[in-house]
Amino acid sequence: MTTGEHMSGLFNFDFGKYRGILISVALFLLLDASVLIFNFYVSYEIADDAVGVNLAGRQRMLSQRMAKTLLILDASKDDPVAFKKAFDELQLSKGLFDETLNGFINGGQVRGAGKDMAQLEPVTNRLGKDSLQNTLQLWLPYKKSIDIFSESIARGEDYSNPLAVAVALARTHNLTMLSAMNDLTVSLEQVAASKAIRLRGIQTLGICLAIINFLFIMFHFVRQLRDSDKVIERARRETTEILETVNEGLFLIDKQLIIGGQHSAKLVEVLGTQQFAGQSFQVLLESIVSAKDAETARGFIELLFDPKIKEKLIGDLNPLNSVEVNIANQSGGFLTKHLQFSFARAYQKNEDDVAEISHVLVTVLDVSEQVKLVRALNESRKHNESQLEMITSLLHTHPGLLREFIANSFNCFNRINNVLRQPAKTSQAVRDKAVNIFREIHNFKGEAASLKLEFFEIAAHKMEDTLAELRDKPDLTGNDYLGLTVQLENLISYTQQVEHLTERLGQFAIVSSNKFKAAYTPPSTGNKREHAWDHLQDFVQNLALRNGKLVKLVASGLSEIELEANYGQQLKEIIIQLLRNAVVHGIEAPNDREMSEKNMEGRIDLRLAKISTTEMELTVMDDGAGLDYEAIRAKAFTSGKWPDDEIESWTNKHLLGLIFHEGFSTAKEISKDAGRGMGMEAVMNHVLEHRGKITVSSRRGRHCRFVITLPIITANSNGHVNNDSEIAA
Amino acid sequence: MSQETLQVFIDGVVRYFHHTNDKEVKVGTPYLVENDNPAAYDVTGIIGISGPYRGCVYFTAPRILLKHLLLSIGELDTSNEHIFDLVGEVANTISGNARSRFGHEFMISVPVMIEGAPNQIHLPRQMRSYVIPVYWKAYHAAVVICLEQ
Repeated sequence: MTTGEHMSGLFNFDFGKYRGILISVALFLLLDASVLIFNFYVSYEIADDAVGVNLAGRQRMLSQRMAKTLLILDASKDDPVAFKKAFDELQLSKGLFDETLNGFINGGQVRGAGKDMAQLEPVTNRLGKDSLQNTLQLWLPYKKSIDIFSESIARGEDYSNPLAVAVALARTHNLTMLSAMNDLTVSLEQVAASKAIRLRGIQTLGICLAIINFLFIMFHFVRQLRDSDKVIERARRETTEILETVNEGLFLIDKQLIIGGQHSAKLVEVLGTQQFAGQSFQVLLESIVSAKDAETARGFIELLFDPKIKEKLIGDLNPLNSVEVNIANQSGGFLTKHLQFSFARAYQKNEDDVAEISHVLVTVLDVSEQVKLVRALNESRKHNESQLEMITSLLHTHPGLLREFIANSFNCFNRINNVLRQPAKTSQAVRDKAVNIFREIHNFKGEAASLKLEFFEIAAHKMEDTLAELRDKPDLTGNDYLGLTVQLENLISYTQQVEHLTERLGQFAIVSSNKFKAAYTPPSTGNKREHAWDHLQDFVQNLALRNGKLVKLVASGLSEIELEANYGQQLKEIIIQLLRNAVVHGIEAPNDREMSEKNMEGRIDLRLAKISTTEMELTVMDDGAGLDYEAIRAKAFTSGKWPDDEIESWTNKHLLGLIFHEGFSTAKEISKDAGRGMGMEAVMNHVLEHRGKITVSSRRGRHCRFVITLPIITANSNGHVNNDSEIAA
Repeated sequence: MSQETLQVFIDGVVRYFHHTNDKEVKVGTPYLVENDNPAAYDVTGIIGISGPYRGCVYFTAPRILLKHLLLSIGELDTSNEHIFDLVGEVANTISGNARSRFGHEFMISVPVMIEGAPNQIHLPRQMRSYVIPVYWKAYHAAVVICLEQ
C-alpha cells in the first residue's frame, strides 16, 4: 500500500464507535485553547491598563510639581540660577502634563516613565471621563497663564504679573486638579481590577468545563470499553470452547504457509505435542510425511490462494486427502497414523468491500481406525485366499503326519539357524556351513517330497540352489549367506502359517467329530504308526511318475518297531534317501527294462526287521540296473579331486565308497530328486552317528541292495540321540 | 523383506568401519532371532524406520569393542558419553546410507542410544529379526534388522 492509499484510508476510516471520544477530546482541546487565548488577550489589556494607572499617577505628581516650581519661581526672582532651573522644570512638567492629559482624552503616543513612548487609549469609563473633563476645564486657563508667563520671559519683558496670575491659579486649582487626577487613577485601577476578576472567572469556568469534559470521557468511554471488552471476551470464550471441543484439528494458514495463532485442542492430540502458532506448515509436514508429499501439498495450497482457480475443481488434487504420517517419538521410533487433511479457502472483505482469500482453513482428521479396518478387511480377504490355497495343497496329507512334519521342520530350521549363528572367522568355516545346511535342507526336502508338500519341496530346492552357488563361490564370506537367511525366514513364516492353519483345522476336526460321534463312527483305518509310513507309497509313485518310471514298493515291518521320535525321523530320512536313489538311479525306464527282458514295472523291497532286542536291520533293494561303477569312475575323473592314475587303480569297493562322499552324484543334471550328491553322505552320517553299519551289494543289470544295521532306540531307552544343538555345533 | 534392503543396512556398518584406521571388518553369516529374546551387546544405537517397511535397525556392540574403536580413531577419552556418541555415529552412518539408497521413500529417525537390548516398542514380540554379526579385530558386534512390510 502506498502512502497516498494510507492517507485516503485514514480519511475514509469509519470512526464509528470512536466518534464520541474524538469529539470529546476535540472539545476539551478547544476549550483549553479558548481559555488560553482569552487569557493572553486580557493580560495584554491589563498590562496596558497598568501603563495608564502609572501615567495617571504621574499626572498627580506633575500637578504638584508645577505648583511647587511656580512658588519657587515666585520666591527666587533674585536668584537667576535657581530661577532658570525652576523655569525649565516648569516647562517640562507643563509639557508632560498637557501631553498625557490629551492622551487620556483623545488617545495617542505619550512619553512614558522612561525614554520609551507609551500608547494611551482614550479613557472610556464615566468617573475617569468626568475627572478628565473637570481637569481640562481647570487646566486650560492654568496652562494659558503659564504660557503667558513663559512668553514674557522669552520676550524679556516684566514677568511679575503673569507669574502672579499663574501662582494664584496654581494655588486655586492645585488641590482640585490633584483630586481629579487621583479620581482618574482610581477609576483606571478599578477598570484593571474588574478585568482581572473577569479573567479569573473565565479561567475557573474553563477549567471546570474541562474537568467535566474529562469526567464525561472517562465514565462514558470506560463503560463503553468495558462493554465492548465483555463482548469480545464472550466471543473469545465461545471460540475457545469451539476450538477445545471440536473433534478435528483446525487451524488457519496464510499465504506464506504460516500457521495462525489459534488451533483446536484436538490438533495437539492428532499431531503430537508440538508448538503450532507461527510455525511453517511446510516444515510441520516435512517432519511427518515424505518430502515428496510435503512438496506436492505446498503446490496444492498455493493453488488455493490463487483466486483465478476454482476451489471445487482442484478439490480432488488434495495430496493429503488420506495420508500416512509418521510422527517421530522420543524413543527413536515412529508413531504411524492415517490423517485426512481438508483445505478450505477463508475470505475476508477488503477496504473496497470485495471478498479476498485471506487464509486457508486446514481441517485434520485422524482416520487411522477406518484405514486400519479397511486394511484388516483386505488382509483377511487375502489371508483367506492364501489359506484356501494352502488348505487345498495340504488336504491330501494326513493331519497327524502334517503336524509331525511341521514339528520336524521347525527343528530343522532351528538347526540351520544354529549353523548360521555359529561364529565362523575362517573362510573354511564359512564354507563348511553351506555343507552342513545343505544336509539339513536336503533331508527336509526329502520329507516334504514324501508327503507331496510341493511348496516346501520347491522352497527347499531353491535353498539347495543357493547353497550350491555358495559352495562353488570363490572368496565366500558371511555376507553371501544373506539370501539364504532371507529364504530361511520366508520358509519359517510359511511353515508358521501352515501350523496355524492345521491348529485351526484340528479344532474344527474336534468340533465336528464330537458332533457326529454319536451318529457315526468312522471305520478304523489303523493306527497312526501305519499312517506314518503310508506316505512312502505316494512318495515313491510320485517320484517314479516324475522320472518316467514304473515302480512297485513292497514295504514291511516299518510299523512294528516303536522308536524314539527324533530317531524315527532320522530313520525316515535314511529310508527316503535310499528310496529316492532306488527310483532315480536304480530302476530303469520301462522301455529299457523291456529290452532287458525284465518286468516293465520295477520293484523296490523295503524291510525293517528286528534282528535282536537291541538291533534292527533296514533293507532297501531294487531290481534295477545295479551300481554303474564305470559311471562313478568317470565322475571321479571329472571331479578333478584325485590323480587320474590313482582312480584307474581303484577297485569297485573303493568306487562304492565314493557315493557316500560329499557332493558326489552320477546324475547328469540337477533336479528336485537327484544330482547334488548330498543325500548318501547324509545317510552315512546318520549311520555313523549311531555306530551302525552299511552293506551294499550290487549286480550290474540285476539289482542293488543296501542293508543298514542300526541300534533300536525307543522313547524309554537310554540310548543316545543326537539333538539339535549338537548337530548345530 | 528383500535381500537388497537388508544389504543396505549391512553396507552402512561396513562403510563406517571403512572410515576407521582398521578397515578389516568381516561380516558373519546372518541368522534369525525371535524378538522375545533379542540379540544385544552392552551398548545399542537404534534407528526407527517407517515407510514401505517399518520397524527398526540397530547396531549393538560390547563396550570393549567400542573403547578399542575410540582409541583407533584417536579418541583417548573412552568415557560412557563418548561410547554412546560413537554408537550414535555408527547408527547415523547406517541411516545416512539407507537415506541415500532408499531416497525419500523411507523416513528414518534420529538414533537413540541405550544400554542392552531394545524394548518391545522397537521390537514387536511376535516377529523375528535378522542378526548380522560383524567381526572387528577380536571382537563381535552385530547389526540387527527388524522390519515388517
